[in-house]
Amino acid sequence: MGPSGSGKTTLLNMMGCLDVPTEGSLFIDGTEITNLSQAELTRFRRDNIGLVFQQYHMIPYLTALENVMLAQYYHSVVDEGGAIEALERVGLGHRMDQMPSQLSGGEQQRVCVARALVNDQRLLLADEPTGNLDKKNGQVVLDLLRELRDGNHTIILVTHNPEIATMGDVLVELLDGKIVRCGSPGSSGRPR
Amino acid sequence: MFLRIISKSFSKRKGKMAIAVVAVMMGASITSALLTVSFDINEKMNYEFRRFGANLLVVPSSDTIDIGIGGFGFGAVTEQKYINESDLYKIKTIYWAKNVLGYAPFLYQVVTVGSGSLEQAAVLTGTWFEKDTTLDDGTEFPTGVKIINTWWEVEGGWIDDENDTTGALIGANVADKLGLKVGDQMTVKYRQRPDDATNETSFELTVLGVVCGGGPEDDQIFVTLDTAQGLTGRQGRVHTVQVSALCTACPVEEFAVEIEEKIPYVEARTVKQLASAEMVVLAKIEGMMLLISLVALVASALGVAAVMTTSVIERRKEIGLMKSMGAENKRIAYLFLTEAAVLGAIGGALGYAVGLVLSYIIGLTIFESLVSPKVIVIPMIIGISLGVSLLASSLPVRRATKIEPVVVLRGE
Repeated sequence: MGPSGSGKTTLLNMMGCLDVPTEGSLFIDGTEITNLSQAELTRFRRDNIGLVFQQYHMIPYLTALENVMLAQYYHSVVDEGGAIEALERVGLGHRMDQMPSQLSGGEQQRVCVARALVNDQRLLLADEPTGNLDKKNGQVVLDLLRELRDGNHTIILVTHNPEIATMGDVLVELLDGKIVRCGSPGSSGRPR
Repeated sequence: MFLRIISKSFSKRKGKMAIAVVAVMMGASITSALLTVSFDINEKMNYEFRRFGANLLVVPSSDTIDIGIGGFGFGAVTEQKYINESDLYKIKTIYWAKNVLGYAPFLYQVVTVGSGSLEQAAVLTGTWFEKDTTLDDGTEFPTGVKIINTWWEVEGGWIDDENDTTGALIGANVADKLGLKVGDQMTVKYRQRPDDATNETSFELTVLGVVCGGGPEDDQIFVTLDTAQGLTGRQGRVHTVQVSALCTACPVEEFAVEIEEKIPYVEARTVKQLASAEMVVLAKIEGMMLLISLVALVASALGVAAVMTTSVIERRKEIGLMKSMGAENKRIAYLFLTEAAVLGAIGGALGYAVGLVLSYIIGLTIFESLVSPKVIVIPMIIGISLGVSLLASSLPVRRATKIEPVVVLRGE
């Protein structure tokens, strides 16, 4: 959590192997990713990390189901049954043949969550996943993420909303590119 | 999944893809038309040129030095001033035999035609009209003036080499001067020595046809070679042989050298001016075709490059998203190159069809005949179109692989 410009998204992009730090090291599950080449970063991301963006990016000419299948295609093999299952898990089993333009913002973000979890990657990075949603749809997405966390996924969620920040197991607070607090949301944490 | 992405991407961008296909099609159609005509043109040009006559003249090599006193010719200095009729088949045994369209022997004799005030000198020419000759391998080969001089217009009928021993085909000028027409009889007188009237032979010929060719044939009287040889006592001999050779891959000089090797006592002369003119015209036409094709293909490449660049720019987010999901650069390149290949293949196929129509028009307007489609042009055009399309897409694709997902996904 942190205010705008505090470095939340930059940190998340580095953890998502989309960006590289100018200095220092970054370890994910024991692998130092700062030494990896661009191709190795792509492979590491493909195998280990699911991404959910604030702006629910989808391929506009593919259906909801095909958008989820696309993640399978670039990960390993396409399994339509698995993709349908992922969409049913986010409550969109009945909307799988719709084009992105036919889906509401909340539905599109749920498709993105389904796409992020379809390859069963253990780490899910979500950048302001509810930032563009109304309260009701935002709650649906948060419930989904909570469900995934309970199902043995590690979710790192970026938000500037204190209410959402308290939902996690660990709260890391950033200010001007520095970690100012790290601990459980209920505690006062360890000030840095 | 890959095919689904390609097909849906195409249907989403129908308009732009159509522009790229048309760009490829235009280049391909011009190249296809020119290739089709080019393959056909050498053949067509040669036939066109052959319509103007033979391109090789075979004469006895010793027949070149004539001697005479006071205007009277005594013939050549050597005995050999004829070509043996029995050697003619050898022309069809040279390496390029298949390209020998035909040949015709000629035996000339000055005779007097008509009687009284209409009596006048004319050249009596013995030749083959359409004679079935047997080659040394036993195959039949019909040849003669009818084969090599296809532009001759004959009123009445041609002469049968075997049966019309008293028939004549007379030139249009001869017919005019003597007032002869098809079916008329004419008296021909022949003297072995022009000043020896006692040795004069006279015989009757029936006019079977009147020939009009616009050349020396209009002033001659044609009879079968056998008739001319019998009349002049030169059995088995001819003065000259005209050869019509169709040659695209070989210079006509090679024919001449080979004929001289096969019949050592003859000299084969190319009709040099005609031959060199043919080559100059062919080279110019082919050069022009190459230039037009290159310009058309460069224009196509620019069209495809413009469409593909626009496509990459418009799809930056899509590319970034694919990369964020784990798509490596080679898979992004593969996607765009496949789209380019599809554009090239469709454009090439359409271009071939349009080019075929263009080649028909070119054939009809320039050669007044249909250009036959060449199957080899299809893979060539598809290949060229694919090459142009892929080459034109290489820079846009390179640009696509340089896109950084983090930049486009945060909306920069």
